[in-house]
Amino acid sequence: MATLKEIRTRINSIRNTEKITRAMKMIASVKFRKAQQNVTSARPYARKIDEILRNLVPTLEGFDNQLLEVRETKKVLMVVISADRGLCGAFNTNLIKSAVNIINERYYDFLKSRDLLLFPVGKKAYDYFYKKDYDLYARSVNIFDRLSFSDADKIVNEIIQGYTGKLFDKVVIVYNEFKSVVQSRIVEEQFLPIPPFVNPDGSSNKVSDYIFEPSAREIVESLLPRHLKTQIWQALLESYASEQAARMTAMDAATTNANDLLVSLNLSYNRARQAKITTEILEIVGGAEALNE
Amino acid sequence: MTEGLIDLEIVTPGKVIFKGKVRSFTAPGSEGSFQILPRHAPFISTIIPGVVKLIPEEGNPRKFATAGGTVEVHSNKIIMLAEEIYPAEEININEAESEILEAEKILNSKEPGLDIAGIITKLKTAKAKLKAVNS
Repeated sequence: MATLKEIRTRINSIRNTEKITRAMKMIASVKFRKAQQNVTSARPYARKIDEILRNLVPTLEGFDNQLLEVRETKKVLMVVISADRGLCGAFNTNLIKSAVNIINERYYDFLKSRDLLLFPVGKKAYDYFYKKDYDLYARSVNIFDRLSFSDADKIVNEIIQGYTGKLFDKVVIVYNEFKSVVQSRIVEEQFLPIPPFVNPDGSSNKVSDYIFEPSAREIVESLLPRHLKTQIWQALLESYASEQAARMTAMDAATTNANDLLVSLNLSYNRARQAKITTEILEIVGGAEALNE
Repeated sequence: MTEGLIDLEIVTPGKVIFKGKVRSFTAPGSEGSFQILPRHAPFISTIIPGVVKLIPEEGNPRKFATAGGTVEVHSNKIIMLAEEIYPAEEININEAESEILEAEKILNSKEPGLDIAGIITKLKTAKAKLKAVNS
């Protein structure tokens, strides 16, 4: 049985750990609330751009833009959005595992012929894919602490540059879509070429009586990159909100575990103390008896 | 008097900057500044860096500095999409001036590989900020 002193040291160290996890949980919950707000407030912008494009693109007969054109897929770029930091449960592990699964299932041939490029966003994804010797196209790390729209801007500019330069013919993004505190879903979305703008029911809008300034073509051309940027921006925000939610849950579980451990340690501490006292009393009584005889 | 009003929404990726009814809306279009009054025909235009003015239903006219975007008018509703837009009340003149100086410095340095278009937009936006405050 452990000595009293050993148990006391363990109790103290676990108490400290508990303090840290509790603080991390609180910080995560504050950050999470903010992130959740950002997710909701980014939606109107994305929806409006989408709406305008939906109205416009179908009206342009014979409009071909490199970003819309479907090419023969020779090379694929996969953008994987993870977190910059750990201590958020299985968030990063799950994401990377899913990304690797998707690669093995759908892009195995590309991987074999080294035609699969990766664009990790977030330090954890970068570390993993760099170590495992995947072909990296670019990376974007340490952005989540101060996430701003210009981060999305940079990422998209880099992707568009590579895409128009024909370094790859298809771009997909893999990220955590935020559902609720306890639920996030890892999704794979096609990013480029831009999927056709049709309504969910398969129809497409036709609004032809707009006045355009300058031409409809130029407006669509200026909107397409911005549409892509808001898409990445949303993915970043959703991933960040999921990360904070995951951290909150993980740290909450850690705090509970620490408390459970403290209860059982306190019990064995008291038991050991009791045993010690009993032995001492026995010794004293035994000594007194011996003197009496 | 609902006839003399038009709905306006100014949206950025971060938040909705303005939402409400206005009497008029003026913006710097890529082919010249334009004004939109209630019951305007469906219209789409790109916006260049400059000053956006609007007259709300009640209260004083308001001014904003923008780095550009898109305006759509459709069924008596204006939607302005902008990546950056700053209400004149929130603009810091000193900051705007130092932004102008910095942008000019970068432009003059003529380093290779510069994102000239991006810097010119920045410069114009900073100038628009000053104009939004001073005019």
